Amino acid sequence: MPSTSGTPLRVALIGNPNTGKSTLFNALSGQNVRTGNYPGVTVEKRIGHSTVAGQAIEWIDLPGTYSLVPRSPDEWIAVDVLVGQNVAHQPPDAVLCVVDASNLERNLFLFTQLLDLGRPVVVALNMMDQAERHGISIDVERLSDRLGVPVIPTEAHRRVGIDPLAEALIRAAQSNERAGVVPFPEELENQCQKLETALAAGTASSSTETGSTSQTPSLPRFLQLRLLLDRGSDSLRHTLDAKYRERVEPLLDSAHEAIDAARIDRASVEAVSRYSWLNERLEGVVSRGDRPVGAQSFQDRVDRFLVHKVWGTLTFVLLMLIVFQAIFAGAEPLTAGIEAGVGWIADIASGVLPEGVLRSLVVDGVIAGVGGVLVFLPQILILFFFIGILEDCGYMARAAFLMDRLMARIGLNGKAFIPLLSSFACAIPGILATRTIENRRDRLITILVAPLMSCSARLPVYTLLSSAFIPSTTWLGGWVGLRGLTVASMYALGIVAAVIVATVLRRTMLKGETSPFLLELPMFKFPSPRTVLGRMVERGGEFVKRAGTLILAVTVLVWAAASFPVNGEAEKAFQTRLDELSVQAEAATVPADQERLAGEIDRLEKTRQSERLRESALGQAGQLIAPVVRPLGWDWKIGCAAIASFPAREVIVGTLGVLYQLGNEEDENSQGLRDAMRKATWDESDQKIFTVPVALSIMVFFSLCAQCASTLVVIRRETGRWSWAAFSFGYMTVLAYVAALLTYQIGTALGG
Amino acid sequence: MLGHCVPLRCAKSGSCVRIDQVVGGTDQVRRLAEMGLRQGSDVTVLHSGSPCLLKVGRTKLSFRDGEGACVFVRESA
Repeated sequence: MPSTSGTPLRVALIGNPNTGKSTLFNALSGQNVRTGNYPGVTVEKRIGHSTVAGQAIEWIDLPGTYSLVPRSPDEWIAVDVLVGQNVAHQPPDAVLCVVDASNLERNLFLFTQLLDLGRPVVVALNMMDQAERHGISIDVERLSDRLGVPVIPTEAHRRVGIDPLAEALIRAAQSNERAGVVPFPEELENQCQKLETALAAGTASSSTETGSTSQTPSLPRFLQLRLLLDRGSDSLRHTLDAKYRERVEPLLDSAHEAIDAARIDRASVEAVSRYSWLNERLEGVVSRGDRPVGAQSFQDRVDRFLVHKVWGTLTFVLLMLIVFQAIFAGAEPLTAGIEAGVGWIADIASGVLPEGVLRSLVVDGVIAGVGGVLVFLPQILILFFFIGILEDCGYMARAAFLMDRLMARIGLNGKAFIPLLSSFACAIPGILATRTIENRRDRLITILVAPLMSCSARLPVYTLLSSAFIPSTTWLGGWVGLRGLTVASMYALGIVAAVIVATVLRRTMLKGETSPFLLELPMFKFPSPRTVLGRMVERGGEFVKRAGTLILAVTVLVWAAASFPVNGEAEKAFQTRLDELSVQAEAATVPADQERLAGEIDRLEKTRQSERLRESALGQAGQLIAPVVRPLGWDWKIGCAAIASFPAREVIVGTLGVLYQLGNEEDENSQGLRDAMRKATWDESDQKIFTVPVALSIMVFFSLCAQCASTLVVIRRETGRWSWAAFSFGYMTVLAYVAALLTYQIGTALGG
Repeated sequence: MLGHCVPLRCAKSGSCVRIDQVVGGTDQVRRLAEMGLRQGSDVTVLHSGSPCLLKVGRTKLSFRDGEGACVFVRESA
């Protein structure tokens, strides 16, 4: 239907995974959505707007798919939009099929299916530069001629060909010409015709009944083929209106029989017909240069190495160790700088503000809490720098391949590994990425174990504790260190736990066959600095934003709970005694006496601080928690900090900052949280609270516990039930407690 | 000159083979065909085993042979 310039033209972008669709979408709509060099980055449709030559256009970016025969939830989204079931029940005005120029035939398979939708199609021949580099040349004009649709060469990342593409789309949407479709064997075509006739008869009568003015669109050829080829598939129920279904279903049995009788194999006929059509069309259009078929390029040899059982696995492990060590070594100077900065601000605030509640709130609450979290910004940036590089160069899919052997053993397939890998950044995109998994049970298992992967919010906890309590021994010239190793083993712990939980779920609650695994490995490319830096800035910004909002709020609450109520009588008694002592100290003439009295004042001051904390609301609650967390080696402060961290786990760094630094006003130079924790002792004794087993037990707890409210909300949304969110919260908390208990008990028994 | 028809997992890493037949469940056979793995396709076996890594045209695919569908191949020269 031609559209006037007032209403926006709706254009849907579709293509195979990894063809640069999202980059093209960004270029066309002026937006900035995330892209990555592995399948499944886009799992939801995204909408952007722009105006080209006075024509408003609404761009709809769809998840990548190889075929319009939908199997997984993300593929459903694409089909729904294209057929017109989803967005305002209107199919788009034009479809933009994005193809990778270096792999034309495979990419155009999807294009031939798009022709069957009966909408105008334009092909964007993307990544032309890469194809040329690989010695592939394409006769674009001839290709456009053969396919019967406009073909526009583009290089999305350099914004080449964007305007011609938009103009071609506007023209196509306004024209009534349609390209020819791929012919199928005769009997199949006959049956399509029969369906068409039956439906036309039906709609004619129904449109008079309902009184609708325009003619009801007949069933697109694409849906006719689905009906004839996919017996009993969900796709029919999903895409077909009930009123169509009633009319169509009785016809199908005989149609299927006729097709079988004509010896047409319903499993392969579609691929055979479409590929042989394409083969014909591409004859003389694509020339491949001189490289013989099957010759192994340098990339192939790299791949053989990276997926090798021994070399590949070693590379993977070494790579991970280097990343974690780099997080420590690289962040150290920056962290020290921020720590000094935070201390400096705290000093200024102490100087400016009068002694009292306000100073305590600013210095002990806000600065100690939020500043304590912000110290970890360099590490978050370094982590995302590496994640960005690994994603963008194409290594992630190789890692998924390596892990498939392990995944097979636990009853999942390698595809599930990609959502799990994303969960190392954050469980939320990881859980969304499970939409690429076809099988519902596989998907559910993946969702339930994804939060066990150590996300970036755990990194501050790990690094705080390991840099404070694990010796800084390094080997191999500083590349591998004990602290990096400790953090790496926390990540490993999450993976091991996920393996065990997945195995148990697969054997008990979610029994079933593993769905077949099929994954495309993208080509290696040099990571784009723009993508990598963009990712770092985006995630760093999010981290700072969280520190300024949620973490700020929780730390202020914790500060308040730890400061009030004040026991006035006890305070008065302390003050009187302190005054007495200072009078004595002033009067004392013998140096030994002065020293003794100064020490006494110091001790009394400390006792007063700890008494105050104990009398506070948090302190009293802490007494209740103490027996529960004591077996983990924790004092009540750690227990409170851990509980306060259930909304978001990085809160613990802030709350520990508040609890261990509260009332350390006498310290001339505000020292970092690490020092405060190293000095912390059990009440009325010189025994240190934090030993190596205690630090490890906290890390283990945080590595396994479900301390993230947003993740639970997303689990509820993706599974459709609160019970799965509750289940994942429950099992993770129990697991975390038991594992932390074992860590501490075994650690102390070994003499830690 | 083509060799004997063998299951894909028996093909050596690094060898070039032609697909003789893909047998198995409709869904997986169709899925493999869509990705370019169908009768007559020439593929390079980059890594043999389960999962295997194949090069089909310019695409690298990895899947587990025998799961949902079995691919039989003949070694080409």
